[in-house]
Amino acid sequence: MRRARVPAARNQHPTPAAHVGFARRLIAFFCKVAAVGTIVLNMSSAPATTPDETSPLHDRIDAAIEYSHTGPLSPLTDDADFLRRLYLDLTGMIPPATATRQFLDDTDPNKRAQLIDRLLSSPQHVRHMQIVFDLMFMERRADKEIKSDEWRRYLYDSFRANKPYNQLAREVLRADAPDLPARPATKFYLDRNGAVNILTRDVGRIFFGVDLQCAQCHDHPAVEDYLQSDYYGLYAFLSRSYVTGDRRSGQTMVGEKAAGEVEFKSVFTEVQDNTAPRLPGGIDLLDPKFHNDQYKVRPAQEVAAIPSYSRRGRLALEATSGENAAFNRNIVNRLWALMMGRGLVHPLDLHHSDNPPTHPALIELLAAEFASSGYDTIALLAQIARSRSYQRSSRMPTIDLEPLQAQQLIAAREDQVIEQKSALKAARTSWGIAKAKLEEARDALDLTDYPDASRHEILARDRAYEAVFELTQLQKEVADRTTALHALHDLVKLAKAAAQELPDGEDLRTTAQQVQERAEQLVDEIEKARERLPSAEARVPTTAEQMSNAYDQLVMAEAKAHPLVERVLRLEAGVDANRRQFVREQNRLRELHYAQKNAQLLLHYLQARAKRAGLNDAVEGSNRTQATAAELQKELADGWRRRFAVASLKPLSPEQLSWSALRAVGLVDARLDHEQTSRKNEDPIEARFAAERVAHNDLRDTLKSFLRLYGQRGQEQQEFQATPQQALYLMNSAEVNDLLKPSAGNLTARLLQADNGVSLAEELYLSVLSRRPTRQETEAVSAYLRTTLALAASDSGNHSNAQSPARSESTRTINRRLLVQELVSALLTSTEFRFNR
Amino acid sequence: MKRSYACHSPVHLTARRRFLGDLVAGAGVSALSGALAGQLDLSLLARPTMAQNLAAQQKRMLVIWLGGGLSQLESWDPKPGTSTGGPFNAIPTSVPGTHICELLPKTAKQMHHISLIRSMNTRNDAHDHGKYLMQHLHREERGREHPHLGAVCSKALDAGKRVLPGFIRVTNRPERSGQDAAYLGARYASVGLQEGQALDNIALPEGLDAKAFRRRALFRRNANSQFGSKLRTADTDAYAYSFEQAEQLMTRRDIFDANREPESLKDRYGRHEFGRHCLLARRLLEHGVSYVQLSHVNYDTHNENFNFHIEKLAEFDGSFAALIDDMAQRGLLEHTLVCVMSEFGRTPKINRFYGRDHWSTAWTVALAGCGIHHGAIVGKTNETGTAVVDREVHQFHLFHTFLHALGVDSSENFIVDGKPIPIADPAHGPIDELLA
Repeated sequence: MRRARVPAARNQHPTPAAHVGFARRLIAFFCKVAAVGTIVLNMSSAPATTPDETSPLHDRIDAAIEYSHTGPLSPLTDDADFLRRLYLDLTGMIPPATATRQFLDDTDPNKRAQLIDRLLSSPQHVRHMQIVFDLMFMERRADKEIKSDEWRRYLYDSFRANKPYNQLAREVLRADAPDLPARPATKFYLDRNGAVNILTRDVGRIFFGVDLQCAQCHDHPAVEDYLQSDYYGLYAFLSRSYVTGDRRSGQTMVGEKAAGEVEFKSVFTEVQDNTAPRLPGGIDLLDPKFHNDQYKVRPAQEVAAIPSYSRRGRLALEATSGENAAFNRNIVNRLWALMMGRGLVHPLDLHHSDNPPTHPALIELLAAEFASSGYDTIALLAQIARSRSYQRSSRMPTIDLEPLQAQQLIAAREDQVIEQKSALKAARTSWGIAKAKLEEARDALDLTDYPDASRHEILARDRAYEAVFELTQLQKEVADRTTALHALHDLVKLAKAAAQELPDGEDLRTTAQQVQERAEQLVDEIEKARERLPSAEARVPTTAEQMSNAYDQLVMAEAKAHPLVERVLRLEAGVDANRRQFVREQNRLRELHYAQKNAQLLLHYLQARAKRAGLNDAVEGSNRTQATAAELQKELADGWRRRFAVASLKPLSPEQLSWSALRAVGLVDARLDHEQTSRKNEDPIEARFAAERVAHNDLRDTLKSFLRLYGQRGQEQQEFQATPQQALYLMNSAEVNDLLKPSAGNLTARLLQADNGVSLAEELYLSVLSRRPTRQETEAVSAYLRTTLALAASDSGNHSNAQSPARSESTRTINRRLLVQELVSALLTSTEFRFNR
Repeated sequence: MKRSYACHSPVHLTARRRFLGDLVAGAGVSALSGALAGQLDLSLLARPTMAQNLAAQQKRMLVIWLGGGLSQLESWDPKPGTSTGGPFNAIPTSVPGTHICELLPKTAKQMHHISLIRSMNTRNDAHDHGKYLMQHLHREERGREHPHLGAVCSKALDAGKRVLPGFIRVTNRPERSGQDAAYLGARYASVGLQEGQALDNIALPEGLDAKAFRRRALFRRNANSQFGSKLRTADTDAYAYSFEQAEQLMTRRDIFDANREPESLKDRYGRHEFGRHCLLARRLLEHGVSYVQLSHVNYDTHNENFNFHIEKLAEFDGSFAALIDDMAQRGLLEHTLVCVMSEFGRTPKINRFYGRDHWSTAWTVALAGCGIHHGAIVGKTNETGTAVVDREVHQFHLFHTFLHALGVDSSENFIVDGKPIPIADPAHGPIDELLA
């Protein structure tokens, strides 16, 4: 349930409109000072008006990114780069050559948006999300309890149905389904053996973006926000759960006990503490009191117990309710990183105040929008893909500025900071006032009968429940003992009869005597219990009446205090709105600080560049003259990439790389075409999905060494690594080279049909690098085919047979085939292929 | 309030980031082939100073794994004439006062290079757990992968400059690159090297001659330089460099071929498999591989312990002694740490099958080289070898000792994706008396 949004008290604070005004003034200022006509400021590429809450999300994303940037932004990337990038990010592999040709030739100005929608509804997108979330949740672990085929099918079906992410997360975190379709969701717990410390860490990292590992034995040494009690707060949700064979369902299950509190001790301070379950950034969630049975299914040998109140269930519920900020921020950050190459918070599982987001306002915006969209991943990915920020070139823009201009930019930013600081101060004051008013109203409410009535009502309710509980217990006691008594009577009779029949029945008589005594004792107990029954019975209506009276009084007190209650609620909402406004202003200030830093660096670079160009006057005032222009340029480029002003160059994931290689050599589409043709008579959409399924399953083991060489088990390594073993594999392995041999419809076969070098080069580059070759590249391909052909022919030592046309022809064919294979291999191993540009 | 306490060393995230954390593949400059060097902006390839120092010292490590569990009583810690001692005598060694079992006569002559830790207590008598705990620097955790000792050495010692893989397992099985680097990443995972075989994919693919290979490589390089003129990052350089490394590996294939060693040396090492593996290991280390591991197996002698040890150690003794001697003569031992270990030792009690069972309570590990004190003995077991009576050592002490000997500060952290992970268990430290 989402709380209603309360509009902030805008009139007291600088409004977004004021910022628009300021931006305009800034631009005007520059139009005056900048005599250079080509100056490009970030503002100029922004829309004329600052987007508001009714604008599409992608415009608001861009506004948030561009707000804190100083200097030129890199322009939108060209069609070929965009197409390849979008295919890789949304479908996990490069585009087929036919799609590339079509897209490049398409003149529809709306073609990018159309492509985004088309890819998001493709079977390949579902597959890609399956792969991405499998990696995110399971990190290439070896299979244990749940077969990865089942698990992948579960993820696939979830994304096929565009299941809301919070629902998916809830199923994974609950891990309590014995039956399909949600049974595979228990993989997260089961394949980690239910090991509580491992689960605490991984739930923290993967679902909340906090790696609390180092806070297990003491407060985190390097991260001030991560406390040992945070670790154990999360741990307490999980500590009652355990993995067991369950004989009812015949499979391994996650059971949970109804009891068990969490205590911990710091190895530094030796201080003992305990904690209730608590989400990162949340409050203690106390167990409800239970007056009846604590279990739905009692614990026993080979039984997965189910408690009446499940802490694990509570975790799943609270995390995914829409209200947990850490949960929401984590997933949007991960989806953002999926598209943009890095998170707004980076590393992805290190959200804390010393590692703030690059764009604090943006991550809040995305989190709020994603939650209110019903956790619709497709919708969010579509908005990110539409943003200019996503579509920027990965090349640094030309910086056509003079140091003086950068200095003026810095000055302008300083003005902005001053203005923002006063806005922040105003927000803080207004928040304080709202809090004071609320306190006052609460005090007034405390003076009424309402708080007491409320307390009484709770007590009375507890007592009434207790009375019912006691009575049922007593009745059960009587009933159980009466049943036992009947059984004992029968036993006495039988024992006596048997004793009479046997000559040496003395021991039986003793037994009968003992049983008789026990029966009498039971009679006593039943009597006593019965004596207590009337009073227990009487207490039920009495306490029920008290409860009802207390409720009536509460209602009366509430009616009387109603205006005050209303006021408190209203003021609470007001405080909340003020707090949010304050956070917004604070974020804006933070971003301005980033902008200042950014501008300073730009200035240093421009100064160093000017110095390099021999303009020594320009370096005056620079405190970093020793840094070279090249170093500063690199620093600037890194910074701009980190802040999404320039697109990142992303290495392909092992999966993207292997599937892209398979597509480049023509294997994927040959298989897809074949499958789709054979389904001509079926529903076209279903046929597409079915074809993809078959092709995927058939091909996924083709490059079986890939994942072993490129991927590692466990936490995903984000630092790029390239090994000579990988290079040897790509260049020399039979697995890869076999794909290059001509076969029906594959790339080599297609290239061998090309009439000339020009069309061959075009097909080659479209297929492997998803773009048309430059003129230079076309020439290089033609030259490769020409000059080396002669070499190859002389190498083969067939001069004497040159007269025989058939023989010569076949040598030529072989040579051409080999050369074509070499060219494909060369491009597959090129740097350009390895990266998502 | 800032908390200042930390896991044994003050942690400062950003400072750590520079250390060891980002030894990118492309960081090496010197090994670049001329063709490529011209295209690379060398300033992008600057290496962290720390790593540079390590590279200059060129430390390496060799682990000889005696699988199944060597009997310490029939080797490093004999107890002749006692109820547990078995039939063999102790013999004097090149270190006055140090005696080892008579099954190791050749090794005895090399003892002045070797140190023994006779007080290992590793508290686990199961093969798989023992194997894990002796080869990984962290406790075994269900559901979490930690890197193998070899991957740790590879990352800490390989400054990113070496063309050769940093972690090679010499095996007799067709074994490929492993998944044993966990969070350190594929770059540091093991490469399995079958004796007499080259590395996977090191040969030219079928139907491609050397000329064609060069032609193809040239086309790739030209494509890369065109792409690089538009877009160039440390990552793109690292990627291009991995191909240069691969090509160099191809031209230096003979490093992996122990057949090129002189015949006389082959005789000294022994012509059997273990001898050949030892020779190959030395060859690899000499060419700069950071960590090599080889195995000699079948020490799990629950039956006929004594006959088996006669047989196994006859092989081991000759080859190991030849290896140590050869490495010492070449000066290689000076910066190569050699460790002979198993998953555990064997029970002092002799069972009714004349066997000895699993025993982790009091056993021995042998070390040599790389600044480890020569001929030292650490720790002591009692008269019958049933308990450690002096200087108990467990695996974590051992790992800190390894790392210190290798010149790596074992209290440091690896920075993995911006997060510090202690290299070795921060609750322990090295065996100081072993370190020079």
